Amino acid sequence: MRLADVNLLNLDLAVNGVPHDLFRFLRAEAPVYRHPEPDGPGFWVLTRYHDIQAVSQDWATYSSAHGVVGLGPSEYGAGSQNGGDSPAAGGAELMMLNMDPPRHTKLRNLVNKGFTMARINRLEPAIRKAAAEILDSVAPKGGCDFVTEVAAELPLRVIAELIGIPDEDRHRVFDWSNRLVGNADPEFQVAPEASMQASMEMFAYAEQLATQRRREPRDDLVSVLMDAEVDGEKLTTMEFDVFFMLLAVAGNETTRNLISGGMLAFFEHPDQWARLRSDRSLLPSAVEEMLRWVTPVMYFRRAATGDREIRGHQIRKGDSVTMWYISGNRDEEVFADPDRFDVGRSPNLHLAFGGGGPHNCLGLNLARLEIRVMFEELIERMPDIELAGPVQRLRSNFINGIKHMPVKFAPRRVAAQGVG
Amino acid sequence: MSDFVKVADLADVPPGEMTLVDFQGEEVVLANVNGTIYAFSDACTHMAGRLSQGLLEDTIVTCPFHAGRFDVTSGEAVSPPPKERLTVYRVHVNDGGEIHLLAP
Repeated sequence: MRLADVNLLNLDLAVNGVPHDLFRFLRAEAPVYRHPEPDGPGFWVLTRYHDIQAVSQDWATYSSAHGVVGLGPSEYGAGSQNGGDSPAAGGAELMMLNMDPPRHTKLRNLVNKGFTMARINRLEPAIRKAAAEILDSVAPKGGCDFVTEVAAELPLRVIAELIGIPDEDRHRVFDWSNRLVGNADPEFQVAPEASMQASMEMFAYAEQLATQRRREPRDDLVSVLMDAEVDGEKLTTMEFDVFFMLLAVAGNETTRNLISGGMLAFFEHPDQWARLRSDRSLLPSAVEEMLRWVTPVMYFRRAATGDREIRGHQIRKGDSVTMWYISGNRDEEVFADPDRFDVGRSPNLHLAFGGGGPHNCLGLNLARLEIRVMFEELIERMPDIELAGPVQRLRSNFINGIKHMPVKFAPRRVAAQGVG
Repeated sequence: MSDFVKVADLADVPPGEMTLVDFQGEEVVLANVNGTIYAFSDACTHMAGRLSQGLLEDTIVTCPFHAGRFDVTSGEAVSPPPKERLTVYRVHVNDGGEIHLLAP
């Protein structure tokens, strides 16, 4: 491999699987790589664990305020402040993901309390019930699409419940989420403006829900956000809309892909599935290993606010710096035998929830719980599950995703009330 | 008293709960332990996990990243992986229920 062969702008980058050989090459030969781009100044690619960690924690030097998704020149942030021409672009800088402290701290605190360990741990019975229902609903068929019928269902139900989206509307959220995140994938991008359309629809829906909650507050995040004040002011409609979108999309897409990708890892490593089935005390470490192995969000980026040096490379103010978690999680300097899927791996201080600092994953406690419960119930209810056809991966250089994954298992009749 | 800065009201931090505040550019957690407010840095000294998203049990906070634990009254690391103590802040709650902090 040569550096000239590295093209992270290629949307087909991971369509046949994450190119771990490419990242191994970058870690070894160019761990701080200035990636060219056709019509821009290029961007830095960090592939080593400790570099990612350092940038992640130094939020004052490496700002999120110019957008954290996308590899080319900042598509919003500075641009949209000068009057972005689209509602989606115009709202992006209002999203918590694209902010620095102290504003970020204040918005984060609004929702932090809904995602503490204590609060999330109380959801376990409800999550277990949902997981059992999902698996029991496909059990009699002897097979299903694991992604749409199993992996997508659990996070969708759980985040809908937390946000306050009624059951009958949650598949609309699934559809919007697919169109927003999968906007490079032909299956979801039915028209060039599909992701714009999806965000408009989602905003309209969020505002409708907000109007209802303003009249009748409930114990959900929409009510919390409607009630919240930051610096003595209520959130604006646009701020509320993008908050809703962030929670709805981030709470869905990532966990779905983790559960699908984790299941695929077990299909590819049946010895580890057998090991976990025979020793369930390995579940917590298995969850961490799935997180490391899959790393659903492959990178986020920052913009340098000043001149800095990383491993002898001069980073200039304004430069885009991308942190490739997917690579850091296979860093040979940190993980012994990193390309081995090992459900007993310890220590396993992976970067799947970020490298530390203000933007650590808000939903990490929830994600871990959903993954653990889903795999506990899978072992219990579908221990013989196996792959039954080709895996269709998401076309994206951002999300490590699976769209469809046919599976089969011994058909099982399920009595009502989940007994049986 | 002039060096103390108001960061929240007592009503923002019910007993057994934590809240995240900005204090002079630092992210600081307020924890209510049986009616007493303690203040400490939000970033775990191990890998900067957000302690405000962790678990508060009596005076012990557990980091959601890797389950390191700290005593919030002293900032002392009481369970690995973190080794270094947390920065703690002096707290004053006035008669009006306003929580004020003093830089360490």
